[in-house]
Amino acid sequence: MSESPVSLEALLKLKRLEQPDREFWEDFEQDFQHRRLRALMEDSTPSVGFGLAFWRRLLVWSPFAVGGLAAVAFFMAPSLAIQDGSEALVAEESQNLSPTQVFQSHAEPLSAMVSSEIARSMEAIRVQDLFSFHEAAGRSQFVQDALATKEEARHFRRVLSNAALSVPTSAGSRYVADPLTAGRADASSAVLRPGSHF
Amino acid sequence: MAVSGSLEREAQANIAAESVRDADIDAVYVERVQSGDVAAFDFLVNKYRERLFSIVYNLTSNREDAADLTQESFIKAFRSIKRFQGKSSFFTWLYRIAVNTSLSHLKRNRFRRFFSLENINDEASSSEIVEALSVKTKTEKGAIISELQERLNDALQKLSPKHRTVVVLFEIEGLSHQEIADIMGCSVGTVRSRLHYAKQQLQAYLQDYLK
Repeated sequence: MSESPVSLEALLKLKRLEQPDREFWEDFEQDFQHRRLRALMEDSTPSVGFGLAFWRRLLVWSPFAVGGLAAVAFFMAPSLAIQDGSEALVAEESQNLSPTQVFQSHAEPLSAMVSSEIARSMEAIRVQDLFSFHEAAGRSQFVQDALATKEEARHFRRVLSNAALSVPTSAGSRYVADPLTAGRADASSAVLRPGSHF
Repeated sequence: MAVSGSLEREAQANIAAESVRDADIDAVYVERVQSGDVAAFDFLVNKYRERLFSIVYNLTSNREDAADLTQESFIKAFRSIKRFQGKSSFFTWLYRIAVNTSLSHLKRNRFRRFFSLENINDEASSSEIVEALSVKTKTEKGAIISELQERLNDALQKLSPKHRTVVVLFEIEGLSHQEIADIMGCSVGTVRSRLHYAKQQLQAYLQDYLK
């Protein structure tokens, strides 16, 4: 019986013949030069290097950070409100601003708003309700009138806080203008006479 | 007998002398790089890139990963070359970076592995083994080579990373036990025992070809 010339060592030495071609090394060289240049730039500018490292870490942790912020925003958002004192909706200079801009320009620190909002929950208007109402109304005459003056805006706010009225309007609803009763600050009864679809 | 013994000793002495000269040349270039001569690093990259790629490729059996990891190893070496004090030879230090980078990669991707094999040199078809196997199995050489390549990579991947490393460094790269021990940070005895165990495993996996 003849001895096999095939040994494990000889088989493993075949692995030395697995070699890339010249094209591979050309690409390798190019890629490596780019990588080295990047490494040089990062290393030569500590702030850049630090910045890059910082952003790299941020990217890794950002999903968690975003998730955390979203959770905070979700729980805090219902409490975000415009307080009577802040006059966010009623300031004269904010007449021409969108609700978002108004809110942003007069927003108080979150914690302060939250704590005061709890105390004033019955009278405060929900920003989302206002926004959604605003969108639904599409800057209708109703909304414009409501925002026109300080006095009327307060009425507007209180009227909307009435549960019976805080319903989204359907398309095509009509606003029937009805002058607000003069001198009545406490508009517990509806000051708007609904139109056919309001 | 005496003549062959002395020839062997002379060959070993020549190899040792060449290694020393090699190490001296590397030391000169390392010093230049440490002084800020970035182009001197290119010399070292060109000198070692094929060997480093070979190690990484045989550890990962993936051509693309091997290219990426080889570059990463050089970049790591470039970044930390100022801390290299010359206690070991440059190539030992560089190989250590490459091996550690590969082992980290293997650990991170242990559940996601696929092969991407390198082209095999034309020399393979004229090798004794391929001739012998082709005759034995009455199979075409090209088919034998393909099959062998796949089976070899498969067998190596079945070994643990540490056992695979000693086999790759010793049998494929031709390093000595001491050099492997320096690279892997273990004793020569550990290298020998890992090598022995790994070869036993490979014998079992490749017994069809070794009968």
